[in-house]
Amino acid sequence: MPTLFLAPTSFWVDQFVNGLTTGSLYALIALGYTMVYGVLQMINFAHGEVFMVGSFAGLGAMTLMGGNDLSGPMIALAILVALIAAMAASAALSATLERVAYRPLRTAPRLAPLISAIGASIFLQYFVSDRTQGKAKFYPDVFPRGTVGAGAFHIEYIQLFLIASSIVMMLFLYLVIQRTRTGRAIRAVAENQANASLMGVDVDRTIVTVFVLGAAMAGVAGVLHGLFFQTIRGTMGFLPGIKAFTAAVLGGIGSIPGAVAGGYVLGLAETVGREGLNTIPGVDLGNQWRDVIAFSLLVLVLIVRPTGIFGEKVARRA
Amino acid sequence: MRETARRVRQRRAEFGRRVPSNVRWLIFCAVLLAIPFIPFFTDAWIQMFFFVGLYVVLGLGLNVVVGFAGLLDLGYVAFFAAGAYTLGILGSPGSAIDLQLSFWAILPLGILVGAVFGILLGLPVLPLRGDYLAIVTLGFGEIIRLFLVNRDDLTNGSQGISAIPHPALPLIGHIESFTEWYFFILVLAVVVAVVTSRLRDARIGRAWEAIREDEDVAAAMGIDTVKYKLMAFSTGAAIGGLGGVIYASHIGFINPAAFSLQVSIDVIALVIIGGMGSTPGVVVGSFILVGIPRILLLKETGDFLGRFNWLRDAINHGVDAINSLSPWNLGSLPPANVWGTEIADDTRFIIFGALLVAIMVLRPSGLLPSRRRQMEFEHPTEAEVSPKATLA
Amino acid sequence: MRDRGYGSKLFLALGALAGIALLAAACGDDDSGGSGGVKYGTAGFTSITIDSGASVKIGISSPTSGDLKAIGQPIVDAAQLAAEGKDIKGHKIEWVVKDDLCSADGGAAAATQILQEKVVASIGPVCSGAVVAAEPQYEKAGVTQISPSSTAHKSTYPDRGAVFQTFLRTTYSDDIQGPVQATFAKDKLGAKTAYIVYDTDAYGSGLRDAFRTAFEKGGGKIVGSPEGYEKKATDFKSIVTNIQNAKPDLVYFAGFFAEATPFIKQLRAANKDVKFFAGDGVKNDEFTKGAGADAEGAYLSLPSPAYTGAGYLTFGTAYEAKTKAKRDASPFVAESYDAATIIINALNKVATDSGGKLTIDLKKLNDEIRKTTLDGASGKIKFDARGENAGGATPVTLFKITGGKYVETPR
Repeated sequence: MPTLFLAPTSFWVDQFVNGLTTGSLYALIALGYTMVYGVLQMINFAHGEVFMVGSFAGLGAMTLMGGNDLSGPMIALAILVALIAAMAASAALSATLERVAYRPLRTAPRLAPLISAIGASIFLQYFVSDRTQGKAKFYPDVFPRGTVGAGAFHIEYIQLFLIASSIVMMLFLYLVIQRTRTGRAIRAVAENQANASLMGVDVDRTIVTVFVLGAAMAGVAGVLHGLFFQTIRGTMGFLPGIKAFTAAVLGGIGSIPGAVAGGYVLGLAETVGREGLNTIPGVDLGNQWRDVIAFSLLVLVLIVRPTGIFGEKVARRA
Repeated sequence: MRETARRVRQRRAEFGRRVPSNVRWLIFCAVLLAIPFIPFFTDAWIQMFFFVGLYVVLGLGLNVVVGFAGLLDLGYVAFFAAGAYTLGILGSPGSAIDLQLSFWAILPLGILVGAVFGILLGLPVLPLRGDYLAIVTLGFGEIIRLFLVNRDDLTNGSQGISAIPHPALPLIGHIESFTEWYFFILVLAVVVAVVTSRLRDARIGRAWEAIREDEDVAAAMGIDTVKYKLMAFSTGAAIGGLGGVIYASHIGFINPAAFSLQVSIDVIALVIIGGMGSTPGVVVGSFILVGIPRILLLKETGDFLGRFNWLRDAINHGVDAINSLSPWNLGSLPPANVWGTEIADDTRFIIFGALLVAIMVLRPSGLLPSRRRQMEFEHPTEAEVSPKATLA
Repeated sequence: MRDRGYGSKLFLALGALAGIALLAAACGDDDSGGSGGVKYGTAGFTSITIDSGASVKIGISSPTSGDLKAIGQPIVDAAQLAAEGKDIKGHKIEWVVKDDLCSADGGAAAATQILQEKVVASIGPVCSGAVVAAEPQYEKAGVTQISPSSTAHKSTYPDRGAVFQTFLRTTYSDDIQGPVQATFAKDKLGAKTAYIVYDTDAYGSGLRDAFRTAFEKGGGKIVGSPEGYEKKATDFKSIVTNIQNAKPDLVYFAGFFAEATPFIKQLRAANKDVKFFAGDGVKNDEFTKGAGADAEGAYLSLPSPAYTGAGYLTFGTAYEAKTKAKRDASPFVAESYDAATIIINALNKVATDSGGKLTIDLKKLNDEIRKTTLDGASGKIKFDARGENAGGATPVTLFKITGGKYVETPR
């Protein structure tokens, strides 16, 4: 697409913001993958569905608060309630999954919990799809439209809100892990379960905490996704889930800053990266190639640097 | 109660030992050979059996990768698609490359293309371990499908390729009828089953097993782990390619929608539900995952279930009574003769997902596990392994 | 067991396969027949006898489960409505309805089950992928099928060259909708440049090609590269940014309402002026409901003549009474009703009665159906040699969304 040579700065800024938006969602979901992997060395395949259920819970809360009739400060309140409802629903689901589908398999060969997770993922996708007759549901269209910024740089309110609130959530998680007693327990269990247990850490409870924290992040991502893209459905969690896992691997699985970095790298690669490639004469990668780019990036990173960008020792243990 | 159950199990085990496995397989094959001659089995039934057979072939191929070598491949559909599109592109007059080769000329090519894809994917990712492999293979499966969709100059994109050649045999001519197709897949499944079980018992199979049990120890024992993993991967991929060629030829039309992630998940699920590493397990798994959903849609099933309308009436009476008392309306059951189609349609995947979880939690070695795999899966209970964290 | 090594075994297997390949004989084509410059394949026409008191069976292949139930079930209902109160020379009509899941695999399986019930003709499949997979089976059995909804080029232009004599459709090919849309976009909407967004499935990519070819032929310019998306996509932000950069007069959307809804919302958040134009996949009440104010002013087209004739009014009233659903809530219902009517009328002409026993010659039935002209619920229907509906003079209707409603707009 040679026209892109002439693309104005605003085009690249817009694509950059688009990448950050998508990347924020990937990063929020990736945190859950990476934390669970950090303590259990398992891929929680159903994490995408935890995100989906959070999104539905958020929709339920907003509809109860008035749906499309919301106005003024009530909108802010409704969004807050939706976020809390989504975090609660996601956390409850994730804790249940841990108890029912993963805990009995903690000492089984590593394939077993992964397959169990795939089963849970399929179950949840189709259960919710069945309940909604396979139709999409729509978030109320209440978030104010408009942009802020100057010159070539401008950003929609909703994008600003999405990026900012995900960064706040990620900082919050970082503080919990680094500064609190619970966080220390999590790090201890990730380091060595048996030793942590001997040092007086309740391993089972800590693992549930990890699932709950990761799920809360996914729940927030669910509401933000709903507010931004407005369309949600039972199968919505699968692809973002896989992309987020890809992001976690890109960043170095097991590493929390890695998951965040991986999410943003992936989001930007799909938008700015793809359009960047399109400036090369003869290359024409439309939107339909974005998943190919995401997965190819994953393979490339693993070949060049198998531990990911922020590879920690957990990755080598994989 | 428990005593009798144990005795029954014991007796069954003794019977199993008395009848050697070869004889059991022969009896099983004789039953399979007789199926098309039973008048009850109409074309639709034979077609169902054909698809079970096709998934047995695919399952046996993936079994080499997952069951023998312990490599989790979530993108098996890529090799299936590679085989199918090799036949479609080279054999159909409607494709970009109009060679119109015959089925038999393309079949080895399809297998080869599958194997080459396996090696191409395996080379970069096999040095990595376990879970990375799962996500990379999954991504690869999607990449292949997206290529099929978007490179429409080569693959016709979503419009697909039709007029795909059927195999011709001396004396019989073109394989056309469902019975002929059924025997064709039966022969192939037996050949693949024999080849894979021979491989398992050969030196290469023992190397795979060593890698599966503990890769570090295997490497320390002098096994070239990457080479053997690559061999497992390409063998599985070649069989996937074979399955793809057969599928494309049977349906006569392929489009990318037929090669979704769902196929990969179906195949891996049937291997696991049946019992990893076990050939009878693959057969049972295919029947449960591929056969039963199709059987539920058949007319005979509807006719049979139709006899249970009394049960439906009884349940609906009960539900009506509850409905009149409670604020929620629970609805009512549909007529009994459509129960099968209702389950096959909307509820199939819900049951399927729950079944996967249940099998992993309750019987992680699958329904018919291979003996060696079973030992590995019988893990001690949690309490015995992790010290109870009550010291706090 | 002795070890023979891995490599030798593989070669043994390949060698055996190569041997079989050499033994197998190549086989030539066996096409025959044809009319009007169209070459037909060989259909296995037979004749079917129906005992006295037995009913005449007609098949329906339609997706009646999952996401597509919303489209598939109304098509079944409409076809069955056409048979109400009718019989075939004293014999009842019995429907054999099979779920084809809208897939190739499902279409073939449904065809097997329908054909073994000894149906005399069949309606469907609804989706083009299922049609292409099922056509050979219907041809082999000599059973005529009429699809009310398959708009793909490939349905009537098969890869093998020879046309399927047993396939006809009461809807119109994408080859017709695309050019009409292109002309309308250029002449009526004054669009000199267009940007294409498409669903990567068979429907979307087919319409994309039809529109692009026609629009460029008419002197229009496609700006940017067509951007595809996978079904169930929600993130169109990057596409919208590209549209902003390319500044087209019109955005052409070849896809379905489920994705059109988030797309138009994200488009309108950035751009209020560019015209939005889409095909029949978007014309659904879910779209106006979901997109709300953002859908205002959008243009849509249907590959059917305007539903205004007397036939449509009769059908519509009966359909609404039977199904309690709005007559225009779901597409292709009138086409399905007409397909069933054509089959029933032809059966009554062709079936010969001897002492209560009915004999139906499938070749004669095929000829009779092909000769049909019908002023039906979906307009005038007449088939050409290829099986295309060539009855309508203006088989595309255009709508503009005004006040949340689809308002017909002159071409």
